[in-house]
Amino acid sequence: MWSLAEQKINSRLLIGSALYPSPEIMSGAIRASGAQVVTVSLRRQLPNHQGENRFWQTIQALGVHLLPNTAGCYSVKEAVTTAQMARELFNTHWIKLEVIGDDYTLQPDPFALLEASKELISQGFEVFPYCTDDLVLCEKLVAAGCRIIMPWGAPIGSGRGLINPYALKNLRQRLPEITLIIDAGIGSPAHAVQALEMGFDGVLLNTAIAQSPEPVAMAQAFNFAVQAGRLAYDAGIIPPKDLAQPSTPTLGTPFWQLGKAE
Amino acid sequence: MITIFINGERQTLAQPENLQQLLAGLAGLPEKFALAVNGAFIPAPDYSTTAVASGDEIELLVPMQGG
Repeated sequence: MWSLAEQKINSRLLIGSALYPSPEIMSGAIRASGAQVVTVSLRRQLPNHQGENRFWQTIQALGVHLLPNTAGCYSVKEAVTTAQMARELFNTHWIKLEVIGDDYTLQPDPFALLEASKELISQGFEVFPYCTDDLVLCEKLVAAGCRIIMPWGAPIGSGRGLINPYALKNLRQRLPEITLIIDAGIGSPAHAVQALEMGFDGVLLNTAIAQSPEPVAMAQAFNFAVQAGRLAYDAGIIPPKDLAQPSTPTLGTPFWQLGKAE
Repeated sequence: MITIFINGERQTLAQPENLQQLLAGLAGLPEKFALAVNGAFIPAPDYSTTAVASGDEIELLVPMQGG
């Protein structure tokens, strides 16, 4: 059990709701993942649109905490307005703040992100900023009032894992009191284990599960991965050594003296 | 008559007294939505006091999948 913005949460996996082959598979994958926080979004719909919103009905039935995002926003104004709409639509003051600065990498615009964070915090939002692993940016987001920081492991959907472990390790060491969640770039359960072993509080991912040929099975794999990673972190991982050290005690080894004599 | 844009689609209709009246006249309005007019969020309680003018751009957003 851990605390995320005053909510008691069991799982350290936060999961996205996009890209699944069907709402049924999405629902099954979210359940199998054990995640209790699910990211959602807002999109245009014309009034004459035919058909009910199956997604909304499916997500409601899961009984999870919703984390709306501002995906697709490129400016402070767009992000702030989208966050305000999300607060009313989803009845939550949580917002995963995305302000994109580059189309090819979907790298966040750090300057707009900081400005939007300040504005939204002043309006009572709990801001989950999606950011790079830049230490100075993260420190400024904390100074602005962010209690949760979500640095990328790698660009969204790339599945490349933690491409800059040095910077991420530094972030963890320098911001020990802040909830740090790796958001984006996770490709396999091994990446999630790595993040949790490094002391990150959680991981947020979508594509690695939703685009797997078997999303429900992969969700379960990530469920186990975050548990294994956190258990290892709490237990304590031995430091690596350059030379071998026998794990079997040498005292009383048979033929020990004989071997030495030869 | 006024011309407005809903999610980028041009619509010509009779001048409504306010945003709430405009919405009441739209067929097939989603059950759950949030609105912005000319880029500014309009909370639901303010619909009845928000004027609508020709050329207004209305964003009507619904819950969707997100990562």
